[in-house]
Amino acid sequence: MRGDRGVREQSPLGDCLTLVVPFVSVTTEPSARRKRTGADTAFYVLLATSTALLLTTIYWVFVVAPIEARMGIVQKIFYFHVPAAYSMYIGAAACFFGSIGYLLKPTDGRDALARAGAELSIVMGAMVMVTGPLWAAKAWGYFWTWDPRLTTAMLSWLIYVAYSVLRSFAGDGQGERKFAAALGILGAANLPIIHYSVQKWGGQHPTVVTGKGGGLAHVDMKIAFYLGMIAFTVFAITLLYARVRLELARSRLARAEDDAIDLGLDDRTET
Amino acid sequence: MIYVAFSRDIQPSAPPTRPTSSADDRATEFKAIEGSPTESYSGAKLMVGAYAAIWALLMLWILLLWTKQSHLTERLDGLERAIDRAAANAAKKAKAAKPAGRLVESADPKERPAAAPSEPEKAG
Repeated sequence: MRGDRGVREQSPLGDCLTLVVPFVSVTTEPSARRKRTGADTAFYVLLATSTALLLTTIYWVFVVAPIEARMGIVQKIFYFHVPAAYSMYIGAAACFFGSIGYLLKPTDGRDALARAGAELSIVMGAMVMVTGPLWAAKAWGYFWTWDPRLTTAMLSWLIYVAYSVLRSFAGDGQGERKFAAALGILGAANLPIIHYSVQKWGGQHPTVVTGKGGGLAHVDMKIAFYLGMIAFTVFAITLLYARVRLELARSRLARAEDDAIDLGLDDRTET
Repeated sequence: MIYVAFSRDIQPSAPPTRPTSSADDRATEFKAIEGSPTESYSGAKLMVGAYAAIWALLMLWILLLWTKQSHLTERLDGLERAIDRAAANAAKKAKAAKPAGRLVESADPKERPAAAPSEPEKAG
């Protein structure tokens, strides 16, 4: 029912009433009335930028960057594995700030941000969990080991999977949203553990970027890596933006359905 | 001459040698490796697998978003149909109420048609 999900961002009922009250204008199509907004333009700009950056990165990784001396061609996984892990952190941070914000003041926008962030973390985390073992098969000789970083990364990924499962199957009431927000905060609390697990607990996972004595020797390797980081950051923000807008649209539609039922306009039963 | 040349090249083949070693000589011992097993994998195959997985995951997510979008569209269609039904019902009600409205309007003294003169008026 109305008011169960927290504070609405915009009034979906406003659009409905303009369609219903003056019966003459009922045939007006919302899609026809909708004009391109600044948000649409921002999304198209983001999409174009991320596409261009990803294509440039692919070109640089496969054509320009040299093959690594010891590991060979499989080292090129690194240029996407690390940016994907970084994007997982971006998604987790979005989930964290959305969850904190929702607990402080429940709004649809904050909940949408948390949900979109969790989903982005799942997708990017899955990339990390797949590409990492493929790299490890060559570097270490086996796909998986219970290394501190691998284990904590998997734990964090499973937390976001649990978050998403909860949101999918436990309803969309305010209680469920708050419980999910607590889970989103718990997932983010694991991020520093993932990051510092290599320094604190050792293990086999290398520290190429921040570790002492590591690094990328060739300048084209560095360019490929930083291009990958920038491309994945913009790409992650684009995906996050698209997902937040979809989630906001879903919340607005759910409210409009509730309002329509309350006003007796919709004779369907509530789901 | 030709015959001699060929005869030099063609040597009678040696009879096949029979294995002389005994079963004990071919005894083989299987040993367990020390530490973790290390196998060599093709780096190119692993890299192609990694990139295929990346794109497959992204496509899967886009498919999921598309499904969600389709579900939203279905719900939106349902809501629009419900609004159309409500509008049609309201229009019907308004139409049914219109004749009664005309009766009320005709009761207005200004627009009332001239009535036939009453009996006292006729007499006057």
